[in-house]
Amino acid sequence: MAEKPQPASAVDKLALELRRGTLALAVLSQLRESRHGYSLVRRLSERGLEVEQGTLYPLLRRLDEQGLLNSRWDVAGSRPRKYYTLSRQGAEALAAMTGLWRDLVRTTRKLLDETPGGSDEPD
Amino acid sequence: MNLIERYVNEIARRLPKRQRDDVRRELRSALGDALDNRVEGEASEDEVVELLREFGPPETVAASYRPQDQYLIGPALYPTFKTVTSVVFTVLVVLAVVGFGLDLVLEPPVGGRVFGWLLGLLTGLWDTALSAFALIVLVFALLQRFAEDESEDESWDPRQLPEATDADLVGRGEAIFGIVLPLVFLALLNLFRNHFGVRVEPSGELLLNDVFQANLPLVNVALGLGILLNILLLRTGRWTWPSRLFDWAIDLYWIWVLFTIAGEVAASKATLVGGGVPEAVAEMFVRLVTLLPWFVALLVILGVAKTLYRGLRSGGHPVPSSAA
Repeated sequence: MAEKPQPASAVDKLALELRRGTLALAVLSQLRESRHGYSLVRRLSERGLEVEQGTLYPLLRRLDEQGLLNSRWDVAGSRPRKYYTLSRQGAEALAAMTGLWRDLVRTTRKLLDETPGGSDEPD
Repeated sequence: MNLIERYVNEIARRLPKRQRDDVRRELRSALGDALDNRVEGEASEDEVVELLREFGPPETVAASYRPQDQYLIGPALYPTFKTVTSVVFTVLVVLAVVGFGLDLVLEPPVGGRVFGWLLGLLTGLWDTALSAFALIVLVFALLQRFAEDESEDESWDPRQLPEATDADLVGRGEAIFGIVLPLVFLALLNLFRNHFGVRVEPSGELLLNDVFQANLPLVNVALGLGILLNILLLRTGRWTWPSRLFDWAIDLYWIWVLFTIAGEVAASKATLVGGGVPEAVAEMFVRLVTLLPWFVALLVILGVAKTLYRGLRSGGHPVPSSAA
């Protein structure tokens, strides 16, 4: 995800909004087990989702402040790391958001299939 | 200090104090992990620079930590804010041009005084523009703060939307006019505060200017309130009970101000006569000035009566109730 020097086009802006909108869901989905920020970045990246780290850490903090995550510092290793896990509230939110996401994908796919030229996009 | 430390500090200093240490610690650790992952051993400066570039400028990262909807003037109010600001500034510039011309005719600067004269006018305009802008921002910031939650009220009931009749609607142009006109007077009266009074020929002495200047703050307040009312009307687009009451309160205040000024003018009759105004002319002048507040009061009473009558005739309450 190299930054392009030219001003963002309308498509770039829409794509950014779309990605940002799904990031919270992606993050919640990977925090059933405890992870620190960088291990989360790598895990998402291994699964094909490149995230801007400058956006991820603030997001983790916001989710933590909203009570969706639990966090704790681990100072035992070579460097202190902050670990995050889904809280109970977070697990409920993830379940709700997953349902919402599936509905949204189904609906959007139906809408795109009706549109000529919009049907050959994979997930 | 190394680059990572400098970067982390630049982000942390933009955050609330209670978050700083924690964020600093986490970013330091995250950047360390990221660097370890891509570089064996000690990272070079270029490698650190590349990593930090990917993370993003400190301002952007710090902004992501802050709540997303912090506005002085939010998107809902911003278009109105822009309209009002541009109207006010256009008027100020036009007034300044007219005013400079007038001043040039009334008191032509001579020789070496031209530079000082020009500088004085420009600083005057700058001060006026700055205070006008500050006032507009203040009013809109207050609107933002206290009128914010309206749009997020989920319990609103479409059946309670007011039945605004045509007479209750305030056009955009009408409201803007109601902002601009008092503003013109505000600027005019204050920029040329030294020119108002009764000029006596041939001496050229300006009488009663002290009365004018002493009461100018009262007039400024009245005009300011009128501007405020019209900004509110521009936003709501119609008259409501509170705005009508506010309007009538401003009218009452105006009447009081006019009576105060008239009283002081009447008390200064001797000054007029002493300054060379013929006794009969002074008498006539004082009588006219004293009659003015009564005339205005009569107009206000007629206006209020008309509104009430129209409201009563069209269904029992004078204005569509916003409190329903």
